[in-house]
Amino acid sequence: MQDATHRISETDIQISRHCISLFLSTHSAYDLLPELGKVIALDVNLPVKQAFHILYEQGIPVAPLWDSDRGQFVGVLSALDFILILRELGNHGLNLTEEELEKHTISAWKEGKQQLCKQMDAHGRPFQRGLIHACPYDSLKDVALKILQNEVATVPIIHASSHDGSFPQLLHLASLSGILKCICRHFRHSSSSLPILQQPVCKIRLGTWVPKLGDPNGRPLAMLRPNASLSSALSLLVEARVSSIPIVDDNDLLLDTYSRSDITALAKNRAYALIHLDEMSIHQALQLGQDANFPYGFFNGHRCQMCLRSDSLQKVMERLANPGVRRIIIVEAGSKHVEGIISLSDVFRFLLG
Amino acid sequence: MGNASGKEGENGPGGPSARSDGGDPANYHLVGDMGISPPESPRQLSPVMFAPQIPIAPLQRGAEVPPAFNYPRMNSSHGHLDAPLEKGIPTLITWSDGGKDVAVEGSWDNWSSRVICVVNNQKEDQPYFMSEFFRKVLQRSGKDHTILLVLPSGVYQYKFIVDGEWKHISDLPCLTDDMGQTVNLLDVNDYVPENLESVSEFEAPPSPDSSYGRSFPVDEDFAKEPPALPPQSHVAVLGPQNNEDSSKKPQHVLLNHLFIEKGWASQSLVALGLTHRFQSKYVTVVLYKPMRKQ
Repeated sequence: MQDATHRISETDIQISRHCISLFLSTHSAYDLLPELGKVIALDVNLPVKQAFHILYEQGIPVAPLWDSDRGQFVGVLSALDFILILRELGNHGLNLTEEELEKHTISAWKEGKQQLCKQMDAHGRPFQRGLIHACPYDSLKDVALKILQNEVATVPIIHASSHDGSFPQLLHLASLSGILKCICRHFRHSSSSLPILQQPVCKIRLGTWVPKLGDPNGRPLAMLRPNASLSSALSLLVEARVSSIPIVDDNDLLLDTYSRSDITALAKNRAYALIHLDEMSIHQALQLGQDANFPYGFFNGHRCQMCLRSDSLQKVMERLANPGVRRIIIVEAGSKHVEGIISLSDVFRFLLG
Repeated sequence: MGNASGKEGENGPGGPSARSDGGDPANYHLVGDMGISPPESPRQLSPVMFAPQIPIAPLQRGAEVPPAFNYPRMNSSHGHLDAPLEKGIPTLITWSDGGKDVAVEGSWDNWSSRVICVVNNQKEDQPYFMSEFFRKVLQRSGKDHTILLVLPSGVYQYKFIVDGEWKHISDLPCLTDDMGQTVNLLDVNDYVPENLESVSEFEAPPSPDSSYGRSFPVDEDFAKEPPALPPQSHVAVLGPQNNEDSSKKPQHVLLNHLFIEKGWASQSLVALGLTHRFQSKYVTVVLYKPMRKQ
């Protein structure tokens, strides 16, 4: 008989959800701000090429956009934008000469993207107009819901220092990992109030798993081989709406991951100007990023955070609370056979019910 | 036309321009103003700086009583990637409602040990820690029973045992469960939050004699030498930030000053940086802008 997923008690889940909801509703985004934080913003008239160089050199995956004519923050530039631009270049969808590309500004790209997104709407993907942001005294629960519902990774925290909204102050980029860090810190020493924390993750319905372990009707776990083309990886990232893909060998053993944020490594030595996405393999793309200086805690050889399916939810949450870690790959002990992925949004969807 | 964006120069809650900060903070901070001090004790309790002392080794009888005097970083005993590097922060807990024997138990070690009070009339200024098998000690000084614990950052629950009875301090943050049991809550931070009320008595000195009009500089202003850069301003606000450093409070003298870095490589790019205070936190915002071709 298969190892059936014995349901953990519904009461335990409800108690834990209630506790977390109470905590998130009574704490505000102000608590996410570090004592000394740094945020990098980009003027919306910067050429897109320069913008990606900055993202790469500063080691940040996303930056809010400032429009100095309007005196407002108007959006964010993220790795996903870069991926879309590359794909459009590949499809000759942008119809720009080399010289025009040098000067193609972020604002021009964003306008063009609106057109693109109208075409993509058939997939049911919501595209946002304007900036999604939060105020420093919004509750953590509202911030988390905003992130989940808009399917973004970060939400800028902006303080309106005057009544008419002029002179907005950019304070922080809030992400689910920051909120999770608050949760972990608060409950770490009183874990009896969250009974599900000690349960092994394979028994809880969260994350994406290989068919034999997970819900057979759930989303399939997307994986790729290292010799697959970069364009197939980028298509998967965009269409499957995942932020990371495990790269496995022929036996489904984990080798590495390719994430949306890895795309900025292409800014190195202007690789993106030279490549055709079909001709570069994921393996080559990853090598470009090897000696990149990411400050997020990606140690050499430790780019993927892994854990076992018997590990407790608390352990998985503590790992995900590290900045820069957005998903954990579940592997089989010893063999590194990929069994599943749990991301930050999976955890929050589960915790918020 | 004119200055690029109003946000850098104009806004920013111009907090106290300089605060007598008492010089370099010591290696660690006491959480003096987190409400731990009992209600009747005067405000000057915070932040008390302890001179480093030679710790007296606690009397341990097996079991895992955590060592009390561990000022340098205390690495977590878990795997390297599991728990973040935990720095122990000295925290003071005080009971001042009378009683002869006062002990404390808390969730910092899962309620497994009790910390007793030892009455010591001689050395009032040197709290020390004597651990018997099950008890953690609070040292009595006058009417107050105190204990110094070194705890990693987090939120803890705790209760007092005063002469054999469970007690809590109702004026401090507490939590009651469904069975009616009340515990006190302790929030240990790795930094001392700005205590904005404590600067209320600070009188800012009058501004030096000069012109403070807001008109834009005219040509003859540009003919003069610019004012000298204060020596504190050599700090690189615009350099890459090490995430581990995020608890270093910036000097107040650097706040609300605009830093500019321009024209590296051949890029017609300029970086503007500003650090300002928002409530008790500090934010450095760096904006990258294209330079308009003249």
